[in-house]
Amino acid sequence: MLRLLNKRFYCKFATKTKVRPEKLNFKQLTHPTKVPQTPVKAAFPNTSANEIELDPKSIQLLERLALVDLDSERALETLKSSIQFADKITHIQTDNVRPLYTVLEQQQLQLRNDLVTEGDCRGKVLSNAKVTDEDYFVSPPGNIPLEQ
Amino acid sequence: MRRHLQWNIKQLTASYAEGQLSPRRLTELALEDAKNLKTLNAFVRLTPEKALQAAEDSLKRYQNKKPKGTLDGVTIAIKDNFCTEGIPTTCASKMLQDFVPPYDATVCSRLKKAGAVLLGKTNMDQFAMGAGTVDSLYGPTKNIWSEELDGDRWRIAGGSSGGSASAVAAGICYAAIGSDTGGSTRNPASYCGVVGLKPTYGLLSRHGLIPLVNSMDVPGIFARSISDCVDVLNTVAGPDTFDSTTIRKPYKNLTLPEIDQINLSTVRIGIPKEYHCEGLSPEVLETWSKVADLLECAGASVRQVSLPNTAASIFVYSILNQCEVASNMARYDGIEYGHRASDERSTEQLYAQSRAEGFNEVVKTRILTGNFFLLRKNYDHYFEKALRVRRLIAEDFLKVFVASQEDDRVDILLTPTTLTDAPLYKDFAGLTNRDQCAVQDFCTQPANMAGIPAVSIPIRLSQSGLPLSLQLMSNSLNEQLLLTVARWIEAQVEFDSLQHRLNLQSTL
Repeated sequence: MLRLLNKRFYCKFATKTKVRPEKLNFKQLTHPTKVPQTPVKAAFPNTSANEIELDPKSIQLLERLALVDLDSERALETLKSSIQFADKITHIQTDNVRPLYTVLEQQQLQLRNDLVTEGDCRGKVLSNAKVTDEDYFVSPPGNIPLEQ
Repeated sequence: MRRHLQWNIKQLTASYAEGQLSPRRLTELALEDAKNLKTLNAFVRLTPEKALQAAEDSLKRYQNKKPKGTLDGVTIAIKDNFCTEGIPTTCASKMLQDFVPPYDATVCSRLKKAGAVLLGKTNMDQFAMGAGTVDSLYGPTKNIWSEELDGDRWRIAGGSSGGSASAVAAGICYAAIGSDTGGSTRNPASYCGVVGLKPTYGLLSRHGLIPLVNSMDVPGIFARSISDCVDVLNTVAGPDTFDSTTIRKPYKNLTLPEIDQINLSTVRIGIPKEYHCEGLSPEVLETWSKVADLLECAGASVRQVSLPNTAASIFVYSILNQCEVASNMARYDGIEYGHRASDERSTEQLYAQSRAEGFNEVVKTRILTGNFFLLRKNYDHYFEKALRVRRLIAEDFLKVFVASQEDDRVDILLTPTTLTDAPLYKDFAGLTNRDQCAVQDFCTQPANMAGIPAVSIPIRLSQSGLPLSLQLMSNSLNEQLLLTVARWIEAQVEFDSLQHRLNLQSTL
């Protein structure tokens, strides 16, 4: 029996580099807890039935502005449900609340003097273009409306 | 067993200085580990030659007794949305698959200047749009704490900086850089059992960080201890002329007090009740309650506070994210850099085709939705509205941190980071990207709305043997107190970020 006990102790010390004086008991609290033990319900309107107006003309406009195709029924559904998701804040009272564009609004945006500080880096600037001609980026003919 | 992995950065560099271990040897071992742990998919690209060269240079400096500073010879990994000169920077997307930046992000150049050894680029969700590192061109990143890494019973690493979290959790590097727009550093830190810091907005330069949401993006720091996290923070923080949105106040290096010098009796902790939302796991709740109790036992004043607009944050975030994404992604047209399609009929046609091929579905839908919110007829109703509610959310924080009545103020907020331990990939992948983010970012993204600093620290293991973490938040630029309290908690809970290695050895 004693030998068994010894062996067990030996294992404990051999496998652990640090012996913890006591392990924290997460079930045991000393003070009445300040953490709410039940979820605090948030009241937001159900907007999943909101009518989303997306006629073919608006979709075409969006696709032209985004230069991305809304190419599947699923993508359209995702777009609609994202709009419904956003509709959840429309009821919040924001009269006299200014938009917060940047959290640094108290600080003046840093401007630098209008001086050339770097240059002579044409090679670097062009290095990632797939098609170049002499020192120019190359694009296909412009001013042709997107085929839709 | 690699004993040096148990060391912190100070102990590591001390061993370099004493000649016990060399930066070269450490880097070789790190590259070896990265290869052996390839199944985690933490890295999208290793840079062994550059790393070994940096290690060699570092070794010489130690031999000449002239190390550059606290990070000389320390291995660090960088998320693949930070530009690295001469090393492809892909944002884990097809769009930037061949992009080789001709310059370093400020965060990277400062790390290099401090002598750090950059091991490579880490995996992420495409353009950082996700909360799981499951939407990457290079496949998902696995969580090293998973019960098994094969089959479909493995856990996600969290995201979008899952690769960085995974690399630090696996002991491949001592720290890693991620980015945090709505929780992308704290979320994977929480799941992977490491420290994840989102600093005050503007404290770290965003120059060279490929933008997602400019008004919220910050570089984040992963480490296995608060002390290591501070060492990295001190190296990379501070004003940068290349980023006009950095805070101009000169940065003063943080020095945290030793554990036994930390006095919590003057610290006021707030428990924002709204952070107990639907879906919070009982284990996280228990962890949250216990740590609040520990703080109270140590003399801190702990009380419940209310941030009434927090629950709206996830909707506001979704609108602002998609609007800024629509604007930011407009730069990808295939002409100057990025994927170029073969459709040469017209400029517009080439743009559209390049974008159709270069972006995944999540990115495309966010661009379309953002453009919808920004349409002239919708601009006020969605975009401006969201910005107004954003002010309400930010003011909630101000009210508790700088209330007019001294008695009503708190210094630190204690909340969960994620609602559960790391989900199984097969469960997580079944959700839509929006639901993935809406659920997982609930507790993290309000801090981005307000620009305040927040840190996730691992506390204990769940029943399933996975890390459970909590988040601390403080007022802007109060990193000193934030990390001091985090360090105190760290010392109480004694979480071992590397404990999984023992369990894993059999499967490797």
